[in-house]
Amino acid sequence: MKTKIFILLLSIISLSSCEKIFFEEDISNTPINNFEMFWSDFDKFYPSFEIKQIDWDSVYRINRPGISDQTSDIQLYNVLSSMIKPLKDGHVTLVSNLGQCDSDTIPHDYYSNMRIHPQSYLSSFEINNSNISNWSVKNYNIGYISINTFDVKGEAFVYADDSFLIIDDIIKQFKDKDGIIIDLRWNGGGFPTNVETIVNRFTDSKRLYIKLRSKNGPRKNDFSDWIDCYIEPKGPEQFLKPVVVLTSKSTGSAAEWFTLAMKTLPNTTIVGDTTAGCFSPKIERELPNGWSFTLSSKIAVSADMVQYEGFGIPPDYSVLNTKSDFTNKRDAILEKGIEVIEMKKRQK
Amino acid sequence: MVKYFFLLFVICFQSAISFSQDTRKINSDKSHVFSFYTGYSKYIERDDAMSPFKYRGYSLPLEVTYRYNGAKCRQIFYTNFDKLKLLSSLPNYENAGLSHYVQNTNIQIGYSYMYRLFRLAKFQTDIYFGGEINSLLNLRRHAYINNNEFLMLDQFSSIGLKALIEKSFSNDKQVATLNINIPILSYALMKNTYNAYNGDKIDPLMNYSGNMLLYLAKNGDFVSLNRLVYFKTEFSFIQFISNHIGVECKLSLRYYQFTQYEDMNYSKNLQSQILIGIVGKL
Repeated sequence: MKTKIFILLLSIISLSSCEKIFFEEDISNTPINNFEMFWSDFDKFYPSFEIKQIDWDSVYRINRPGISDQTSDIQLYNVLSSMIKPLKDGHVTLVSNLGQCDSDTIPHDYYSNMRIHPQSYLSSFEINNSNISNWSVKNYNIGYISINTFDVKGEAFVYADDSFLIIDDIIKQFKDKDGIIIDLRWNGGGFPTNVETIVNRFTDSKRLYIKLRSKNGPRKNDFSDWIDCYIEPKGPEQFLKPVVVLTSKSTGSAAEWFTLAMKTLPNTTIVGDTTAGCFSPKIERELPNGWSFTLSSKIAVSADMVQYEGFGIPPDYSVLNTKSDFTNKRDAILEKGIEVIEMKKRQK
Repeated sequence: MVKYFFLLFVICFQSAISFSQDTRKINSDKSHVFSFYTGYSKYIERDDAMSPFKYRGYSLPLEVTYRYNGAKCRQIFYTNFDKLKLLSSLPNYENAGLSHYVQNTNIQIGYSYMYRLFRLAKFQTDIYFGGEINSLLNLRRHAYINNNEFLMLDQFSSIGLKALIEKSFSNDKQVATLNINIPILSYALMKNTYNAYNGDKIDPLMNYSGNMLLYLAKNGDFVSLNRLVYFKTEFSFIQFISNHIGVECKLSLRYYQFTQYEDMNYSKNLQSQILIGIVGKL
């Protein structure tokens, strides 16, 4: 009996102590380790140093001497923030218990991102779900679609959210309109699958709209081959009359994929402000002190190989709402959108 | 604390069975044995593609096993399920939206066939050797900022070698087994994974509208010991309290190290379990 108990005890103790055999110790929480890991993860994973003309090795040489085991949390936060600020990338963020540093910050009072007094312009609210809403534009035969997000609320292994299929009903209702305005000014992104669900209802043929490559290794030139993404006609019918897409600096990520896809269509006009310039999906990483950060992971170019990452897509008509517009309840961007569709109607 | 409770339980259990007295022969030549277990499961894992830190967790696993004891062979079918939350040793700053956790689901299913190689009659011990096919899914949702979850998984369907030592004690109401399974060839789904969104298998999923798991399942790779180091070993002790009913205590240890990206990213997972089961024998 003693032997059996001894064997059992030995087995249990062996099971409990296996961790050290199979796993290395976690990297300890020191200012130097936090700095090194932060720098090194960007070095391994961030794809756009060359595009942004930033010498990341030089960033190390400048900042590393200022870090020691005596560096305080706030000093470390300031150093790491200063390292990512020049990237001006909407997908680069440092999150800490001391605050959050976004590499690219849009001021809260940036009126051009705002939808000003929509009730003055829109009526006949028809369909609403949390992703898409649609109205008619007052006094014009123009449809208006607001897409707030391309995110997924569906099942675990599927990026495509069925709620976006409501676009088929909207297209059916708007088929006699002279044109449609699609408002993306507050759309911060989501999943490209949902982008294609919508854009496929506006194209008459298969079109290449974006090319992607991944940073897939630690060396500076470790990139995958380009992956091509297409839109193609889907759904019972497509809307092929004039379309205006309204954009702002808050139009980011998958909403920029949408803008780029719509830009390939001959009947589409982009109105508003330059988009955020962050096409790539972002990844999240951790530091030993519990802080986390996000960074872009891919490079995206348009079908004609134009690099908008970091710069954003410029509109065909640059129109910015101002504080005075806000005071006067005037949405200059939406008004320009209406004007463009009316102009195209007359040209036709 | 839970660990010590189980330790105490196992010692009591062992003491009880050691004093049991019955001389009826239980291990007939052929039998069907069903076991239903639960117990205590401890996980440690590190997924370099997501984070360089270890995550740990504990749970109440479920396992069902069917054994066919032939005259000269052993067949075992098992399925094991576990769902738990893993935590790291990193400080959480919930107010800042920093909460480091991994939601983990584990499913393992396997079938093994072993043939008796040796019988050491003096020690009432048989040694069996054969193979096992098994499939393992370790599904993880990693969340670091604002509970924003990133999906990552390890999935292997393997064929490998299995050895089993089975000892019957003098009264034949007690059976102890020790087995080890080492998968040799596996069909793995996530080869060349660099991070949450980049990798040979992940890249085409950016605008994929179908079921990603099915897509990955169709596009896996065969790997061997150079990319997947994997073993599972179990020590089990069965005490029959009648001709058909018994209780079983099982200790199991499973470890795998999958090379996600050569010389850089590894997905390591260690699962140790103490299971208590009810055994039915026909």
